[in-house]
Parts: sequence; C-alpha cells; structure tokens
Amino acid sequence: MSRLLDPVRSALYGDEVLQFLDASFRRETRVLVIGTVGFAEESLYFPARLAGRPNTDFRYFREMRPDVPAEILRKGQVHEEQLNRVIGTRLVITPLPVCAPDGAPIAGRGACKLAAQWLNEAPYSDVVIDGTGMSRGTCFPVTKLLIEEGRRRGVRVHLLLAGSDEGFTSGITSISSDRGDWVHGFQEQTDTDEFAGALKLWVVQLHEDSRSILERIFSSLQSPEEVCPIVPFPSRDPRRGDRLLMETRQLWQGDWGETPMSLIYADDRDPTDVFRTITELHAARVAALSGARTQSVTILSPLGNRLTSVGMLLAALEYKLPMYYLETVGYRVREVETAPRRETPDHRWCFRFM
Amino acid sequence: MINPWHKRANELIRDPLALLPLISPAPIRQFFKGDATSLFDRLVVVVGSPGSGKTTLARLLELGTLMAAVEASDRPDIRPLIEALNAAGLLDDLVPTVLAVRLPANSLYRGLWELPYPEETKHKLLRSLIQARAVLGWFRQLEADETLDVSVVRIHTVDVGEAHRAAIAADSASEFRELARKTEAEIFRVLSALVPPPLEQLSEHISSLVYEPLVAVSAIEVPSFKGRTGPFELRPMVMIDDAHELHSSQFADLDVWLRNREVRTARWVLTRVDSISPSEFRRFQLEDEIERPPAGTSPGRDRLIRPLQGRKARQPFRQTVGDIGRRYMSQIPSFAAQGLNSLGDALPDAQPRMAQTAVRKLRDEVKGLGKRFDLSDATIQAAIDHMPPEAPEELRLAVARIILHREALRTPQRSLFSAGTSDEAEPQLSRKIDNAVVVGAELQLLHDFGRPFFYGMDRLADASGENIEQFINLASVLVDQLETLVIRRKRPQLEPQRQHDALVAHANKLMSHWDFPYAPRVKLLVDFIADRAIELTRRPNAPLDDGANAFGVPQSDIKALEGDPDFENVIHYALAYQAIVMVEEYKCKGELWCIFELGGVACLAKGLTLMRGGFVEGRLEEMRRVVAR
Repeated sequence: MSRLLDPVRSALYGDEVLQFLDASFRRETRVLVIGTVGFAEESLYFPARLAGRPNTDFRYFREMRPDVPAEILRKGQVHEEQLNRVIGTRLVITPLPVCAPDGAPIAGRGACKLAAQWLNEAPYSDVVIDGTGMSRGTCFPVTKLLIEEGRRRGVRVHLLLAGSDEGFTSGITSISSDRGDWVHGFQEQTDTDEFAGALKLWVVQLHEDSRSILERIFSSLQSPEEVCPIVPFPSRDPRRGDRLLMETRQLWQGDWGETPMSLIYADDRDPTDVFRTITELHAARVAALSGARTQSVTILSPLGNRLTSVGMLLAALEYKLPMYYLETVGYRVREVETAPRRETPDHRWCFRFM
Repeated sequence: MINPWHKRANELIRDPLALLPLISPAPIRQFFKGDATSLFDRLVVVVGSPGSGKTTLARLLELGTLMAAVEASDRPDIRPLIEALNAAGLLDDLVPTVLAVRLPANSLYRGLWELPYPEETKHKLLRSLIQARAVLGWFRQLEADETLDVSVVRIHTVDVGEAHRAAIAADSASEFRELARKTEAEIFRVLSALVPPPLEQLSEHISSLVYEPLVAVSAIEVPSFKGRTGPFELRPMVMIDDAHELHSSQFADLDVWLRNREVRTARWVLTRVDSISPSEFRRFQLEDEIERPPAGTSPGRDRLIRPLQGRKARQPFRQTVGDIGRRYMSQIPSFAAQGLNSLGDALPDAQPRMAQTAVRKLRDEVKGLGKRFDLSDATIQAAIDHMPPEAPEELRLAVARIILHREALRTPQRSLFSAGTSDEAEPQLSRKIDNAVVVGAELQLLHDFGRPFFYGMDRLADASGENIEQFINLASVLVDQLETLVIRRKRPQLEPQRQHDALVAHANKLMSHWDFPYAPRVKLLVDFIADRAIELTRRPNAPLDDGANAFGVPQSDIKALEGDPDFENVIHYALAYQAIVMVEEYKCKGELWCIFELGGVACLAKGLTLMRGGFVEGRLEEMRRVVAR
C-alpha cells in the first residue's frame, strides 16, 4: 500500500487530536463526517467539537439491531436529539439495518453503499470517520472503502476514536449473532480453493464473557491449526489478563491445544500496540514459512474493546489480512452507570490515511 | 492424548483416525437402513438440531475419512463401523464407492443474496459457486491419496452432448478443475468487493453465469486407489452443510434445483429445521418422517427428508449413547487401567436413601393425612404398600402421599359436623400404580427434601434430547469427577447425589452461558414455563403423575405468532437452540394443542420430569407478555 503517511507512526493521541483538527481543517475545507449515533456518551464528543466548523456535512448511521433493550434505545434517542440540536440541518441520519430478518449480518455492505453515495455528494477534501459509536462491522468496511476511494480521488481520510475506561457501557454486554462472517471487504482470498489447505493462524482478542463467541468462531473457521490469543497486558487492571486466561483456559488449553508459548500480549488501551504485536507475529510467520509449499494465512478476530480492535484493522489494512467476527445483534443490560458524565473521554485517537 | 469428552464437537477433531473410534455405528446403521440407493439418486435433506450429528455424518462420508477407515479396518474398535459402511454401500471390498465433499454453507453463500442483482442472477451465482466448489472439493479429496496423480482421473458424464462436456471441460481433469477454480475466483471477487459492480458491468467480471457440472457428471474414475490397481469408479456427491444459513429464497431455489432428476450427482442438504421459515420449522416437528411436497413434486420420489432426531422411541438413543459412552471411555487410559469400560458402569442408578430425619418428617406428614382425610391406619398402610417393601421408605411414603391426596379429591367430602359412622365404607384404593406416579413422587422428594433425581445412564440419555453433542457435554462433568476419583485411587463410581449435583450445576451453568440471539428473553420464557411446571409437579395429588415440563396453548392461538416477528424470533431461537421443543397439533382432552416443551438442559436445571406429554394449560398471550420488550 503506497502512502505518504504511516497511519500508525503518525497516530495522534489525546489533546493532539483536537490540535490537529483545529489546525488542519481550514474554513474553506469541505469536510464530510461519517459516524454512528451511539449509546455511549463518548459518541457525542467529536461531533460536538466539529459542529462549529463551516463547510462540514455530517452523515450518520443509526444502526438498527433486532434485540435492543428499551433503556439503550432511549439512550440512543437522547443522543440523536442532542446531535440534531448541536449540528442542525447539516446532519442527516440514515437507518442502517445490521442484520437481515433471517439474522445474516448485512451492515458492512449497506454502510459501504451509503458511504460511497455520500462521498459523491460534494467535492470533499477530507473525510472524517468517527468510529466511536460505530460497530466494527460498519466501521471497518467503511474505513477501507474510504481509504481506497480517498487515494483514488486525493481525499484525506481521518479515523477518530474516543473511549473511556468506565462509563455507561460498562454494565452492558453485547449478544452476538450465531453466525460468523468475514468483516465485509476483509475476506481476502481465505475462502477460496487456493487457501483450502492453508495453515490457519487465528489471532483473537480475549474478552470477558466471550467463551461462546470464541467457540463459535473457532468452529466456523474449521479449527485453525494455530491460535494466538491476545491477552490484554499492560492494562488499567493489571489482573485482567490473568482472569481472562483463567476464564478461557478450557478453550485455549483444551479445544485449541495451545500452550502459554502461544499467548501474545498487547496494551488494551493502545491500538498501536496491538498493531505492533500482530506485525511482529505476522513477520515471524512469513519468515518461518517462506519457501514452504503449504499456504498459510493469518486470520484476525476483533472482540471486545473497540479501541484495541482498531489495532487489528490497521494490521489488516497493512498486510491484507482477513478478519472474521460475530456481529452484535443485541445487548443485555446488567446495570446502568450512574457516575457523572466525563467532559473528556479517557482516550482519544486519530489515525490519518493520506 | 486427547480427552474426547472435552471436545464438544467432533468437528474439532481434525485427524480422521482420532475421529473414527468415537463414531458409533448404531446411528449409521439406522440412517442407512433399508434401500440405501435412494439416498444417492435424489435430493436428501438431513434435518437435526445443532449437535445432533449432521456434520459428523457428512465428515464420515468424505473420502479422506473413508480411506482412513479402510486403512484402520483391522482395528477392533473400527471394525463395527466398517461393517456399517459396507452395509450402507459406502465401501465395496474395502474401496470407497463415493467421492463426497462437504460444503459448509457459510456466510459466503448467504452473501450472494445481498448483491444488488435480480433474484434469478443471484440464484445462478449460487448454483455456479456450489458446483465450482463441489468440483474443487472432489479433487482435494482425491489428493488425500498421495499415490494418485489427480490429473489422470477421468470424468464420466451421462445424457449430455459434447457441447456440455466441452462447456465444463470434462475431457481433461486438469482443465475441468481449472475451470471450476476460475468460476469460483470470479464469483468470489464480485462477492468480496466493497461495492459490487452494477448489473450492467457484471459480464466484465464473470465470464458465464451458467456453469453446470452436476447435471453432467455421473462418475469419477481413478486408475488406482491407495496403490491398488483399478480402475475404480467413484460416485460424486455433494453435501451442503448448515444450509439453514442460506437465505430462505436461496434455500427454496436450492430445493427446486437439486430435486431435479437431471442432476446426476448424489446430493444431500444438511440443515437445522429452521432453514425454510419459522412456521414451516414448527410444522416440521410434527412427525418423524417429514414431507411436505410442493405442488407438482412427488413426496419421496424426488426428495427424501431424514431427521436425525425423532420424538417417539427413546430406546435406540439410549443404546447409541451407551455405545458412545463405551467408545469415549476407552480413549482415556486411566479408566482402562481401572477396568472402567462403560460410562453406565460408573453411574449407578440404585434408588438413593434419604436421611432418617427427613424420612421421619415425611412419615409424620402421611400419618397426618390420615387424620385430615379421616382415613384408617389400614388405608394408609394400603397406600404405602402400593410400592414393594424393598423400595426405599421415603419413596413408598411419597407415592402414598400422592394416592391419599387423590383419594381425598375423589371421595365425596364428609360432613363437617359428623365424624363419620362405622358403616361408612373406607375408600377403596386403586391397586394399579403407574411408573409415572413413582417418577412424580421422586420429583416431589427432590423439591421437598432435595433427594437426588438425575442419576443413572438412562436419565442422562433422556436429558440429552437425542442430541449426541449435548450428551457428551452433560456427561463430561461426570467424567471429570470420575477422573478425580481415579487420581485419588478411589472406586470410580459416582453416587446418585454426586451425579445429580454435578448435572444440575452444569445445566445451570450452561443456561447462564446461553449466548445466542434473543437469549435473555428465551431465558425469561424458560423460567416462566418452568415455574408453572414446577407448581403443577409439586401439587400434592400429582395430577399429571410425573408432572409437567411444558406449557400448552390451544393450537388456534399459534396464528398470532405470525403477526409478531419479534415474538416469533424469540420462539425461533428458543427452538433452534433446544431451549424448548415445540409440538403442534397435539391431541389431548379432545382438543388440539401446541406444546412448548422445555429442553433437557432446562429440565435438569429446574428439576422437571424428562418424560414427555405433561403440560400446563395456558394461552399464547401469557408467553408473549413474558418476553415482550
């Protein structure tokens, strides 16, 4: 992938993100902001910062899932009203069905179709993707499409992310679809005959309560030969990795037949660390298997924290790696956060593709 | 050494030689019984819930597995399976007769439906992709024989002209394979494009929308097989697994296409029953042999539907899991060293004994009934004597308690103001006692005194809902405990209390880990049905003998389901994951009912009967209210 700027090396964090946005978008710059109305408070952060800019159009998805509890729907509605108040008529919100009536994940295709249309609406010089409230099945294909189209048309693409360690979402767990799928646009050649006998390395993020998801993906991928679970370490909670290893030990020790030698560690607040970890693993594997007659493929499965799964996106884009996932079809609310809202999210990232 | 009890699905076992000893020949014999040729000359739809053995069956038929079976045919643990494969016509003189490929109908195929093209074009793409992958799969299967040069195999066609042979490049194995590869690659590129090309440009990406080897190919001839000189003719076969993942329109087109007798290749579609539509799915559970021919088609002639699970006889499944238990146990050396060859031997089913204090309490309660219902000691003793004296006292008392309550309801109430006279006849207790009443009494002892109920191999089998994977999953917790006993050099036998506790804890854990779409609301529905069933089971007179494990609504209520997609989805996933089983048009009390029966895991977790048929009467609206958002 030829480029002027390395999105990982040039990644911006914290206040640098706002400084960059202020400095790089001149008044006459025509900007398209694509985002999703989310139920997390952080999803309002970037739109509020960008709302005051002239020549900026906001095109948002309202992701429609089949099984969402009323409190989450209410929260989404409140956020939609707030966005409308802050942005006004420049905001267009379009419903995006995440699943077909039979449960098949369709968000990626639908989102790409809409994003391609939006890009043609005006001669934009910059596109901002606010991935904060966007699900992976929507965000990743749209990002890939816009990068490809951006390179073709000379449009700069910026991927923004905001997240907090705790918040409204901490009492919410997602319910996954029962059918795995490649993230749209990230199938690569994995499903073709050419790769039918390929040695599969599956790199998967460990996450709380993800046992059945892990089982389902492993089975859908037809038992990859090797599995490298990504353990969150360092982490805000230093024991999180140990707990996850304990929780999933029957899987990685039993079904997957792995040993602690296969575990890889990455900071659960830093997408660039996840990227670097996958890069090292991929490079080592390519070196080890070069010259072998057998094909090999590294398959990534982003789970849990959206911030860190963006590290997988960066690696998938860089090395053309396939990504396999389970779409979220609904949520389970255990408790709703009562802590006061934070003005500034704990983590803010900007990745630039230009 | 793998512990097969911890491999929840056979598909996780990659090596055919590790898989084969775990496959019981009993269900294979059952599946292929009768005239097996009909399973290869028309469309066969194999129906079963997740874990019922569909994929294992398909894997068994693949050439790589058959070859592994042949190579290991002198092993005593595989010989019965070889006999079953011979009887099914899958082996002939230790040479496979079919070249079968399993195509998991994964998201790729379903993705075709989302392309922005007319329905007809999407169906053509699906048919072409399936055929291309079938051809590629056959060659991959053949490559499993390292002694075979796949470029020299011959493709036999029947009833097609030279033009068709040329269109599929059947004259050269290499070109035949290459064309399939090209067809797959072209479709794949369109499918995986972030924004697919518009219809007008489709021809620039796909050279031909029509690619039909399955109509033509009747046999694939190999010059040798594993070094044995031939030639041998193999019957090509395609097995589309997990077809429920297709869009219903795709499934319907597949059905029409593969029913066509012009298709020469053996073809199976393996699916969960919900692949057609939720309403048909429910109807499919009515009968063991399912057939609903659309107009213009002939039932049985152009399609066979073979369910892997039935509702009638439980004995064959008990035998099957008994065999699986033996096979799995033999894989664990520590058990073999202890002479433990069968899971059933480690799970005694002798009636457990309750603590004396609890028995005394029950005895007092039964005595109290005598006073309450004004019955003589002889009548009470007669009620107790319904059970043989060798039965545990608490069970005799519990059965007596039920009988006395029933008698009290049957006998006209005496005057509150007269104590009765000597000429008033004592009620004559019925001598006949059904086994279901004894089970009901056991369940009441479980709920009243915590006496174990779920123990022994038969109840373990019944709780598995005729689902082999569920059986292995449930049994695995018992096997773990047995391993612990062996390590501690103790006798490898689990007392009923230990079996019961382990199974109930595991069932509760499984339910708390339910993580499929709509799972939280499915759980609410299960809790609702279970609460009502427990209340009925615990009624003193045990009106349904062994109690209930289901909720029944008038059949006419079911129409309301179709107007409520949200509720229908909850029911759909509850059925698909066997949280509940739905039985429609069940005749009872001269009326037609639709019964929502709890699955085995829920019955274990809630302490309900594993027998079928007992239900609490209600209305569909009650269920809808429970799961409403």
